[in-house]
Amino acid sequence: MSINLEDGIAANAKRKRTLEVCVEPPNNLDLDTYIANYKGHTKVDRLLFIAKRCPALQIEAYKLALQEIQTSTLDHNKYIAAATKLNEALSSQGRPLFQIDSAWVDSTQKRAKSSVERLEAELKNYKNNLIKESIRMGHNELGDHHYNCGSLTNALKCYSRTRDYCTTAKHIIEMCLNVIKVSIELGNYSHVHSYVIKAESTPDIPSVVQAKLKVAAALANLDSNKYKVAARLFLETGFDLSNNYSEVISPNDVAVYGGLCALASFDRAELKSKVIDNAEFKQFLELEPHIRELIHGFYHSKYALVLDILEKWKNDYFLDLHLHNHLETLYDNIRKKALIQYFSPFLTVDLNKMAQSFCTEVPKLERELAKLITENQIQARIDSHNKILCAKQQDQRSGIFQKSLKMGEEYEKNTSAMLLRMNLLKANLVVNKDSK
Amino acid sequence: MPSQQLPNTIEDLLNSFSHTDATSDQVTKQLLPILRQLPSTFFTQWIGDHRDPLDSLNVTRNSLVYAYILDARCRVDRPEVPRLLSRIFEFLDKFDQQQMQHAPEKLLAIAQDLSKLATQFGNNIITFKPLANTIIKFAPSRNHLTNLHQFFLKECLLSKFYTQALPILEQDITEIEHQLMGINYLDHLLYHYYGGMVYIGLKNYDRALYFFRLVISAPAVVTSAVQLEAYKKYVLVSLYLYGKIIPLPKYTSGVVIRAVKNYCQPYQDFAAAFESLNVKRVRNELQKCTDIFKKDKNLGLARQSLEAIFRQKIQQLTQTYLTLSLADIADAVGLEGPNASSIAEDYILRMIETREIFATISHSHQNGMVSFQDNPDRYNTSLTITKIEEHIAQAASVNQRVIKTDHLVACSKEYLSKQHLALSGGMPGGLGLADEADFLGSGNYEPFIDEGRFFG
Repeated sequence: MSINLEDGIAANAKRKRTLEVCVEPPNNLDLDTYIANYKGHTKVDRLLFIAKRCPALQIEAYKLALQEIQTSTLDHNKYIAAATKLNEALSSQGRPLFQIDSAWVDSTQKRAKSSVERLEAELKNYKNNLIKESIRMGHNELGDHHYNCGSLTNALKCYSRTRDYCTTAKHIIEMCLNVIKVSIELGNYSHVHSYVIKAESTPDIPSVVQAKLKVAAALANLDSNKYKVAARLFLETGFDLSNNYSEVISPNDVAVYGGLCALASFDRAELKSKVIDNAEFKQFLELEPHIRELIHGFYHSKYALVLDILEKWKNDYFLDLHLHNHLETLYDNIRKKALIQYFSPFLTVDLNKMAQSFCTEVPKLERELAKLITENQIQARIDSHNKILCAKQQDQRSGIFQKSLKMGEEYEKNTSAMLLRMNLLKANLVVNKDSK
Repeated sequence: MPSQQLPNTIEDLLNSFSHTDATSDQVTKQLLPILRQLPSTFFTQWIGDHRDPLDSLNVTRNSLVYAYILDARCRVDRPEVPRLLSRIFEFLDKFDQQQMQHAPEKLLAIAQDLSKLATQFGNNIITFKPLANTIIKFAPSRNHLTNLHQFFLKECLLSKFYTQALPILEQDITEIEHQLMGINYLDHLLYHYYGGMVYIGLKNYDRALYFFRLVISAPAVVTSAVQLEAYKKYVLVSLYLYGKIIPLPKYTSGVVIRAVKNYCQPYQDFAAAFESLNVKRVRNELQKCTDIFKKDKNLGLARQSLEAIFRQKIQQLTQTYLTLSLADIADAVGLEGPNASSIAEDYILRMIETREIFATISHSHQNGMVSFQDNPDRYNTSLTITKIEEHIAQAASVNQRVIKTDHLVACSKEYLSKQHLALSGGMPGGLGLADEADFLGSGNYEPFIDEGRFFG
């Protein structure tokens, strides 16, 4: 058991470490095509995330991020921060420094300030006139502006304030989507949960919005390690999503997140009915053919292929904003699932052969299997001498005898204890200071 | 007023009741107050012509007086040990249970005298059988607790004659009649605490755990030191058996749980280390707590539970492996040192002997290979049937007691007045609620009220 424990600790430590880990240049990632799927804040965030973790792509990512900040936001703070980081990276490689566009910084700073003043004045005016719709619009515009400037908490405040002025279902949905967007960016997933529920309870939701809500809820569940729920939600996401939610997530992501979560948490039957036979999700899978291959490989028990694909894409996923700290757990679970599934049709399995198909060594495999057995995920025992894994022959009859004898004893003891207690209480023999 | 009736000599006393039937309730009620007021020197008198007053008494018919005289004699400066011993044995053999129930404290006093004298005599083995018999005779049933119980167990513990206590311990205590038996809560706590210790001495840890649990979960508004000590042992025994602290019953008093948290922290830390099944951590924790354990006299028990960790790990291995070399076992279990595999072999041999695991060790290989097997008991022999029947009989007897208690509760004043209250409370005007009318049977309302008043 000590092995288990240490493994557990190691996994935890690893997860923490991944936050700062440097990832080798990924095998399959093409930064330009990858990032073209996104727009707005998530594009910047993802680029900065990659830049921080992957030295090989650092400079390119910073440059793209700066470009994006300049063109589509008013967030001068982020601009300066990113530029300084870029310059650090450049100078460490001995390359000429990047010229900060200070004219842009100054002008945006001024523009942002004047906009805030203008919008606040307008809002005040609306409030005096007591026109609900105008007040809502005023809050919204102010929120949009704050969001643009990167002050997310202020944006969240403004968006939530519109709540009191919502008059139609459409307004409510708009408000919810805004809050969800900001909350995801803030990493405040409990907010996401509650606003998804609120939005879903309104009537007549357009299918695109429905898809957005599903994805948002799925991300929230992914964050709280509820992989199975997350998988189900990803799988229920309509393909209407396509590129309509690229300020948060791309359809490629849905395929990857959904596929991995499903592999890690579904059993074979669920995999077949909910993933492989899912026409809607198939369209997502077309975008990421390797995930499709992965799922089919897993379903058809080609484990070497599965592990190969997983290994190849591992670095890419470490650079994913949402997936990176769940990757180890997901991979672990998929591997466990594979081991269990591999053994399920057999009575005995040669460990050497098994190790081969899982590309590992026998002692390592033995330890993995021992862990699965102690967790009661595989009903089997290891013949360590002959290196054979044998299914456990369960004798139900003996089991019942054992169980009922034990239960009888328990019953006797508990009843006696209760009787004694009752009589003690009746006789008032309670442990007390003065009854001695 | 009663002092005027006090007899002057022991002869007067004997004469005053000899003409009535000494076993009748009336006499005991009159006699007892008199006896209680007399000084102990009174009972050490002899009758006029140097006759022994005990000779003129019938042990069974005059148990009370006999007891008073015996006790007083044992307490003089230099008692005549051998003669008194035989007197006491005779008394314990023949005393009248009903009479002594009026003065249980005297019976306890005599039992204590007996132990004291026997120790002076240099042979207290002779006391155990008679004492056990006395308890059985004195208690209304085998399930009743008497004031002698805890004293008897303490004697057994002190002189390490654990097996002598078994006939008493094997019967679960469920009945309490504190007026008849003159007991208080300490009797109950101490009896079960000592009982647990006796069972530890006998290595019947399962039962010891049960006894300690009874102590800890006793109804309480403050915590007794006995309960804290019991909890300490409970933790260690529980670790020994199951590798974790078995949760206490839900009805355990909150005060006790809080006190345990405050006063037994080292034990809980030790348990936490134990639950991690990390041998190193447990060893460290044990090192840290050695002084405390030693102070509480629990060190031996703690050491034993440390051994239990290895046994538990081996037990786990049997679930996982069919065959495993001794070296691998030693490694997996966490044994260290150059002869780790031979220690592992030792453990396995002992476990096979106690039928904790089923395995064979073969030394035809280099390191020694252990093959684990399933429990060979297929539950298809007559032995199983006997065992099951035994259990069923036991369960049935427990059931009987439950039914009896249920009956008693149903007839009790408290229950009936509560019922009555519930009924009349719900309908101040005397009109029944629909479902309660069902319960009473239609139209039978009036007579039930009468019954309630009768009992109330």
